[in-house]
Amino acid sequence: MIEFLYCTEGLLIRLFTVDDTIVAIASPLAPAHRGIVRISGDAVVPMLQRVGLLPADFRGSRPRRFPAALDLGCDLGSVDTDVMLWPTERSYTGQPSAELHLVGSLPILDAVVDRLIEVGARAARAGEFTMRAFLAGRLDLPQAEAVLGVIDAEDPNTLNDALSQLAGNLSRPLQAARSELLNLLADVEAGLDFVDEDIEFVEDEHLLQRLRQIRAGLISTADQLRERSASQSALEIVLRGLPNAGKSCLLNAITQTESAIVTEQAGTTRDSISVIFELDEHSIQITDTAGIEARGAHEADAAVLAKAQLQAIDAASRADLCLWCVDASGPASNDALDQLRGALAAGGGFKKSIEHWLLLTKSDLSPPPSGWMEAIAELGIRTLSVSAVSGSGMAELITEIGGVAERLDPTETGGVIGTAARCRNSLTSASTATQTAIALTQAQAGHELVAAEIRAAASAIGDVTGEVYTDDLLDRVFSRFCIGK
Amino acid sequence: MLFKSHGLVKIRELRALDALLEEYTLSAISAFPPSGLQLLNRDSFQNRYDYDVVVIGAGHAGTEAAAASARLGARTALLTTNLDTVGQMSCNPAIGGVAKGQIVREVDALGGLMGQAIDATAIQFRMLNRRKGPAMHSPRAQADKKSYQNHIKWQIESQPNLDLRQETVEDLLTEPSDSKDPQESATQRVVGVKVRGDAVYLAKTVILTTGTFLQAIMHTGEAQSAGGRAGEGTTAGISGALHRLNFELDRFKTGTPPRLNARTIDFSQIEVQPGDDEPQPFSFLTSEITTSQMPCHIAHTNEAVHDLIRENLTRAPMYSGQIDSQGPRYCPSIEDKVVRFADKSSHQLFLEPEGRQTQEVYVNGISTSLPRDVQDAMFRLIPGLEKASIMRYGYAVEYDFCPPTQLWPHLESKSVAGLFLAGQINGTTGYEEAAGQGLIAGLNAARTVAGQSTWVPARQDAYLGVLVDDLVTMGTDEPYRMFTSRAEYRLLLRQDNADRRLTAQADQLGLIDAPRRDRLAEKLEQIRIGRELLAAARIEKSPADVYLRRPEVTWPMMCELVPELNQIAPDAAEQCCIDIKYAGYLDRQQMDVDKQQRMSEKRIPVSFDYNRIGSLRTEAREKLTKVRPLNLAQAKRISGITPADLALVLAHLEH
Repeated sequence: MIEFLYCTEGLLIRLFTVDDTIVAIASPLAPAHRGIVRISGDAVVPMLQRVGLLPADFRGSRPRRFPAALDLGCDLGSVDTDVMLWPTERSYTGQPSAELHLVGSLPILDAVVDRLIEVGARAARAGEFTMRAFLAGRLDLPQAEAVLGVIDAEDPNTLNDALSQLAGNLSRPLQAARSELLNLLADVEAGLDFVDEDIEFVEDEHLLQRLRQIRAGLISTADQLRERSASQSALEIVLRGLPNAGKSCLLNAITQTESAIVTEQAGTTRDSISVIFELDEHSIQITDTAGIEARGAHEADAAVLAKAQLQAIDAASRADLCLWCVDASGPASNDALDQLRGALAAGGGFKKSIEHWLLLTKSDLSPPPSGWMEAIAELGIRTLSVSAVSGSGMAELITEIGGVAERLDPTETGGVIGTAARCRNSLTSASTATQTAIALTQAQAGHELVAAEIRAAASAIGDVTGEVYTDDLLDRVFSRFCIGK
Repeated sequence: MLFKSHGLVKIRELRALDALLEEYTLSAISAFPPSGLQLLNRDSFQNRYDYDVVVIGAGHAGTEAAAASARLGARTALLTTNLDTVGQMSCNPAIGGVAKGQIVREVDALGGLMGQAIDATAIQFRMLNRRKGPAMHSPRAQADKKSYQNHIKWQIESQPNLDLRQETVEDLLTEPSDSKDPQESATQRVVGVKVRGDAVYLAKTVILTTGTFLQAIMHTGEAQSAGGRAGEGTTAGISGALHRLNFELDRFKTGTPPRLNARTIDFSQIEVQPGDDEPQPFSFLTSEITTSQMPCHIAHTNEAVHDLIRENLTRAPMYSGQIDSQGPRYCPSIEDKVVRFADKSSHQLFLEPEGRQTQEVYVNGISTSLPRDVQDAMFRLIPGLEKASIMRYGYAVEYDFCPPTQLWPHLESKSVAGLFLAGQINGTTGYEEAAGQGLIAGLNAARTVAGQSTWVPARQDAYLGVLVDDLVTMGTDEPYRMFTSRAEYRLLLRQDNADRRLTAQADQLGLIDAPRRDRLAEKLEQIRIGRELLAAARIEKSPADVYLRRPEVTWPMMCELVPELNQIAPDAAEQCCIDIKYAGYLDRQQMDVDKQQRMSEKRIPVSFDYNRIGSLRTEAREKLTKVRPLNLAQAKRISGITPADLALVLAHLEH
């Protein structure tokens, strides 16, 4: 049996169907003060009318930009947004489109997407806006291929990982629901195709009971998804640098906690301290290591220090991002640079894929000495000036970290809505279809109609977990029933 | 060798080859040179016949192929090794069933033979799944086997443009393809066939419908004999030719049950299964079935029988290792049933009379290759059949088939232009599946000869579309049988609307004649009038067609409320009812069809080079190159092809 094929019927039809209207968060899913929700398709204007962003008698055809308030309903109230509207096919995607620019808070952006889905939009798949732009002749082949590469990355393992990372391992309940739907479908189909067999494949009573069970499962999975808690951390950061380079201060400023003990005396941090914090949907672990001593600087507490150094190496080996903290105003700044050069050259026990950034801490105290910036430029690594005390450069640093988390976290791909939203979509469609199947069964409407609904439900789940194949069904039938007139 | 050295093959050399051919094909097939007979001199043959289309094999595929081709005006020859087995039912004496009945209706709607033949010769009609919705209604009939055969033979003999001949084909004649057409991938072109007795049939197209006769071996217990059907031989020459032409061949097995003498059956002990009170015909041209019907009967196996089978499993070819090819899972032998479903204490046996003028009874459900003594002993343990005497023993047959991914959807070979394959040779099973393929192959062979474009129904238009698309796109791991679950647009593909789906198209293709055309026009007009009456009349303040949607409302009730509806003929009334009552579901499936349509319209040129797409996965590249899908929708259906693969192909198509 094809367990986890991601060649899903729904996905494909959708990738090549340009006549439904798609919606997604188009800004990076990282903290930023502005966020963008993009929507494209024939129904853009009517949908904006339905949510009250456009007057009901709107007729314009020129692109326009205007401020408006979007009512998100119930407890969320309304949110101010800047609407950019292309009412005709003269747009990036070659069809009516709009962008809603609003505050960059993910929960709010999510709510806006949900609101548009309520009025008939569909959560876009990876690459879908780009595919439309390509089909509309707005992109050339290399550009399109680059985007399609993103879709390719969504292989079964990545997807499985992504699903596992959602609360309570969504993959399992979804697979279970799909499998149960297929088993049920196999029973119903067998009853339709093998009428001459002396087998009662499935009685209505039993069918109803199983449909209700499946529906309950789908609903509870959807609830679970809604209440999902922090997932395991997507990004691990390690802070390195000489003692008193300001690592602990920085950790506190980034995580906005008092996890690290911050003192003025160099070498305060003897044990590694790890803090897990949330940057919107991403969970990030940051580890403050013991300061790496310049040669011969300390003699006391050698054993403690050695242990701390081991911990530091351990943390470094798992890190995705190493922040080298250098006190630009301090006396040992050249030693720090030497150390960094050494680590870059030797690999320093880091993962191959690790990124190194240089942070010039305490930039509020004094500017770096002359010749310093040139030496840094030679290293060719990203350099940021920050001050945990004045807060200067901190917002930029956090945005950059968010960017890395975004790249590393497979649950969210840039420019499209994440797995969670797609799961929500699938679960909603599947439970609606299941509900219809229940109603049809109760009305004794004929199993071929019930089968069509079960198929629709399985295929909605299949959007996330894999397509329904006839062979898959037949395998189930033949392995369980003795067919053989 | 003789083949290789001569550019020109003279008739005396062919004579000399006669004897050799037999040997080669039976033993060292790979010894054939790859190029075969080159640059054929058409004037060098003494006994030479010229045709547009030559069909080899006169079974269900061959007869439909020949008839369709001749109806389109192609000069057609139908060659069979035995004129007395034209249209023979090798296995069960029945036509139709779930999904298969729908296919017969489609073959009929396209002007084929099968529907009228079974209407004329059936001994029992049953509409299966009658209690389910209209999409599931499936006609099935028991045939008078001999009458059916005679009817088909008579139709073939009466068909203008068609010559039925008894010939044994010994080789396929091919030449290197000289086509400059970049759309054509074939390296060889078929030019005719050579038959036993110094004669050749030259033709622009050849249709192979040799069924289970390629390298066939029959098994009954430990005993084996060469042959595709009891009492008949095998077609070695064609096997050799296919090997020479580098066709990939694979092996399947199937089985057939024993036949009993009705005189020796105690019918008082077994259940009767009568036909329908109001038998419904298969053909859209048949108004009414007036012949009397015969009952079938149902007997049951029991644990004693199962024990006997278990004790003798080592003597069953399927379990002794004598056969290791794949058989159909939906039609398992009784050995398989007993082993795989050990907890089932009884299996049904359908006793189907083989005709009105024979005592022979086909025992459906007990297909077996167990030795003769075990077959005899089994029946002695079955109530009602204790004294039954076997007239023919059951056997299993192993045969070669050509994995159908080697064909285009119109069933022409990708590598040998003009050579079409249809029926069981393509790995299918069933008379209906064979007939449907035959019709499509015959139609397209004739169109090819006439220089016209090929035509194949789409998946949303016919089960025949599902059939050929599945075969050429996915191939098959077991003998392929149609199921309604294979059709994603099942609600649209009903037996009741096959004429509405296909007959107008058949008319354009030239497959049908005036009576069928007029019949459809009349029915469509009646449907139109019915719909108008329903839209105009009002019942309980709502339009009559809205009222009709209520589940409890039937057509006779409507006729009472709107008396004008009495003028609508029953078949048109049925269409009005279904169209209205199932509108919601039909619309939804139609929407799915329309979505798919966009992908079907994205055609991929036959010469498209998948190596051009650098970023395509190797697996995808190999599969796409092998199947060579004609459009994106077909590409999508190849197993293991991902959306990303398709997106890349699309991007390059657009580029």
